[in-house]
Amino acid sequence: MRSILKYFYVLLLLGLFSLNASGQTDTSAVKTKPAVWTRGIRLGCDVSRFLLPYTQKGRKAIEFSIDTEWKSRLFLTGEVGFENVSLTNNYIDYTSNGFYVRAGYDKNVMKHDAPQYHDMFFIGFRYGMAIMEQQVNSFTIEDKFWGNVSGDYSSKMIHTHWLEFVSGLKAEITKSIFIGFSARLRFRLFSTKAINYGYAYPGFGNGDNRLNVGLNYSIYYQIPIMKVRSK
Amino acid sequence: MLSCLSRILLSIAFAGILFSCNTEKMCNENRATYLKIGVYSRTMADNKVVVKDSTLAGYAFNAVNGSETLWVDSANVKMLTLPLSQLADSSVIAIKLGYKSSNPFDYYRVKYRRSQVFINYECGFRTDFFIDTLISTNTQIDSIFINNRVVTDLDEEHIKIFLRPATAGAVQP
Repeated sequence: MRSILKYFYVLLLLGLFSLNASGQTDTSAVKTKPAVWTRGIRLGCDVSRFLLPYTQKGRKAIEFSIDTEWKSRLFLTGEVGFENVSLTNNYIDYTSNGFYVRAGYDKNVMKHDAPQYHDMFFIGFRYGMAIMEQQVNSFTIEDKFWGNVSGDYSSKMIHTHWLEFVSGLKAEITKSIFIGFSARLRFRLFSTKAINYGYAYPGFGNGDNRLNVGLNYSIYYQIPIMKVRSK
Repeated sequence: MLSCLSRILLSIAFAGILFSCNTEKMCNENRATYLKIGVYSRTMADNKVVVKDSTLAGYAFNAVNGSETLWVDSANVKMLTLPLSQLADSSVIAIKLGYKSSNPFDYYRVKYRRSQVFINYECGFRTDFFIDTLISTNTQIDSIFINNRVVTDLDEEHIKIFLRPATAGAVQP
């Protein structure tokens, strides 16, 4: 079934790129007259978080972002997210709740002949911090010789700090609506480890790793604040 | 029309939806830790003590807290792999050489500290041990040593048992 899906996807991909060559925007025409475009604050929602319960059972998260162009092709960015994990199986009953914030900047390395085009290929950095509360409501270790062991760990607060390298794409699909994809490399600076277990730290990933990789896929709306006219 | 970048991004979205699936993971890790006891014998050669690997021609193992023999193995073994109690800070185990023989049991009291170690969310926790002391009777054995005090899921030898020469002769080398 998965191989059929892969073939379907490859066909879909080919179709998308062969829609029409004439669909490419003729920027030469735009150059001849002054262009008008908007600048503003871009609000985003990471829709890939909605797939988390399907890829990692028991994990739910939501993430919002805000960014604005501070200087030419330099964007100040902030992100905030919330995450809840609830896992129950024969061996463990675990819950955690937490939130995270990231702040940093993105540099658009794509240059446009016409400035009203907002498509971006960007690289950037973030500083991230997460606070979470986690507890093991119960656990069981099976032992057929001496008898099963069971216990629990009470609620503990944990905070984590990390640096993040980001690279990705953003494109305006219609007026003021953007979609964007980014890949992230996260390096944990420090964290409290009050208890001897750690699942996914919100916004960072696997708590056992010092280095994690993450992906985001977001939809953005840009609130137009001012209009800019080219000379 | 959509720009090239938009098409790339939409393709990534389709791929993400198509290939995301709920992967129900099973526990594939070792959830148990065992005390591993290596069996050796000593012989004299050229006025030097030579240590050799030895084997037990079958053994019986008892958890002394219970009356029933929990584990019997008739195979020739070079290494005994035995569980420690996770409910107490010591375990007394009894090992008899030759599981059908009338040999007396040797008793081993292992005192240790316990700690629960998180494995992952499919497997939960396991118990690791740190051996503090080891006391044994020696009707069948010559001596016993702690080789590695930390008992985890790693494949390491924790205790060395040296058989008496007569016993070593009785078992298959």
